[in-house]
Amino acid sequence: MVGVIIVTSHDVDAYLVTVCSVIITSNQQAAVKLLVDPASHSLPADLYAELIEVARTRPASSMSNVVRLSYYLPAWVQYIGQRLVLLSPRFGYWLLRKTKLHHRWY
Amino acid sequence: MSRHKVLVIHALRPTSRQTTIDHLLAFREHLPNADVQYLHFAQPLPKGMLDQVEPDLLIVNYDYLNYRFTPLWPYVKNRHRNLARQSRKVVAIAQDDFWAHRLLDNWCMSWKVDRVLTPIDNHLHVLYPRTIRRAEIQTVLTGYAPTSVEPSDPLAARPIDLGQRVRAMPAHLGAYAQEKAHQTIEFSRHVREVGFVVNVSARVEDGIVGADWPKFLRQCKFTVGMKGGASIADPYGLLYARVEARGQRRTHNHDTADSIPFLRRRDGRHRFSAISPRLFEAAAAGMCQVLRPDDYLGVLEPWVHYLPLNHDFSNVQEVVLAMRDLERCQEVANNSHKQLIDSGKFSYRRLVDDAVNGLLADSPSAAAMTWSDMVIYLSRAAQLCKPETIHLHDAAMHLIYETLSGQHRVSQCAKTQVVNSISQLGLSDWLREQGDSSRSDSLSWRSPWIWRTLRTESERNN
Repeated sequence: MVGVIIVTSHDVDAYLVTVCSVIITSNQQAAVKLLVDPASHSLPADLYAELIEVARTRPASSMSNVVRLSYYLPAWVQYIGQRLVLLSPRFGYWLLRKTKLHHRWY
Repeated sequence: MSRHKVLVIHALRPTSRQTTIDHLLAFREHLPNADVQYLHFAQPLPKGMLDQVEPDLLIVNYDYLNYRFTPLWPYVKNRHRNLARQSRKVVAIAQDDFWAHRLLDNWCMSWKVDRVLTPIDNHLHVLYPRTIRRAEIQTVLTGYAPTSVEPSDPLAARPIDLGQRVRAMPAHLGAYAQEKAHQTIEFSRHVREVGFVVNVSARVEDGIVGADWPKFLRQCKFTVGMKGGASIADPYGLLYARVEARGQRRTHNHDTADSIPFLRRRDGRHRFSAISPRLFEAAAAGMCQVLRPDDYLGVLEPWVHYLPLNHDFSNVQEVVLAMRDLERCQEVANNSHKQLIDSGKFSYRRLVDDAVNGLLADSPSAAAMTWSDMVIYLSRAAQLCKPETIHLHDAAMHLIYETLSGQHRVSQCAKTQVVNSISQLGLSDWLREQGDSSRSDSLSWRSPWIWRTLRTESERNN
């Protein structure tokens, strides 16, 4: 699901831009994967530092208590709950960002 | 003379498969007398533009409809409902109908869909209990023979023996849905043991997307596959939620349908099956296919067009032995290429004909100013979607969305890098325009998905 980390070309510009995407979206899971790649050592120092920061501090969606709690609810409660949350787009959007679930779709 | 206005709604993502892109492009290629435009559902548009566009035909692609699995589906489907009302005719192209099929059925009714194209040809009354009474339902394929096929090396010159990517399906669609991944992994284990070079994976992160996929296939001698499908219908996606939650609670997600009581009693009531687009991709790449014996469009015969692998692996040794005879396998690959690709029977023209036949009225509606405005806007938005700058497009969209969301401070060095790259291409105005459009279209930037414009041949030439 984490599309931005699939680097299909070794073109340096494309790689830099991919790193920027991950930093901009604070996508911890993608940042960790990029850091495993030896190519990350050749990044400019400021971008590399930002990437490490993202990998270290931003929580992944699996760490969210809201997400974890939902696994203990019956499926129909989840279904109704999701739609109730959506009655307020602002709240739904905030929750999606807060739980980092939006990263699953990048 | 004015042309028919055809609007295709899609949901291309950075991870979209090449088949989906080919599928979409087919409409412009095979409808030369119509003005075919592509609109990403999350793409921001200037205010009011969408309310005045009146296409002669609205085609909704399966990648858009697959968003019915997500909690945001109520918003997604309402976003373009007015557009559907203004269209003369609406066609829906569905896939994976058995997953959340009630939501799909309800959507068809609410958008007043005139024709549904689905790869499933049985149990349609189960999948579309309401739509089947008012709309025409037609069976199509999930993929077709690509229009342009690049020449490929003979099997003997290819470095990888067995290549494949599969998706390990969760258990909620039944044992039949899980068989494909199981067959692939098991078979790759067998052939690896006897010394073949194998590049097979069921992991999402190993996925190969876009133009790299056909390149990968052309490096492989063999692939393994079978028809895809399901043996359980999951009307609202609740079974999926239950299976997912169960896996998370138990810190593993490798259940099979047989090991979960609430699935076991449902499994096998129906069997929905469809031919995978991989069949055509592999044939186009000149690969020799190892397939489970089945009816493949009534044109493929075992040992002539593919190597048959029994479902219980009882003949695996025979298949492995046949794989060592590259001369014979080359002949099988050539036969399959002739039957599926060279014959021209399974080209995308067939899909386009199925989608539009009888639905385009004799006289197209008068060209309105808003339609041409939209065409200009969409073609400008496609500027950054060249293969070499596609990453920049996504990064720019991330930048806009994150800046607008204001959830946290956007990293200055990453922002500078993206803005500099955009300005080097002379597209600073484009970035500003997209930022303005996104700001006025809150549903666009609030949705978590990055949109992609389909870059068509004519825009490439401009």
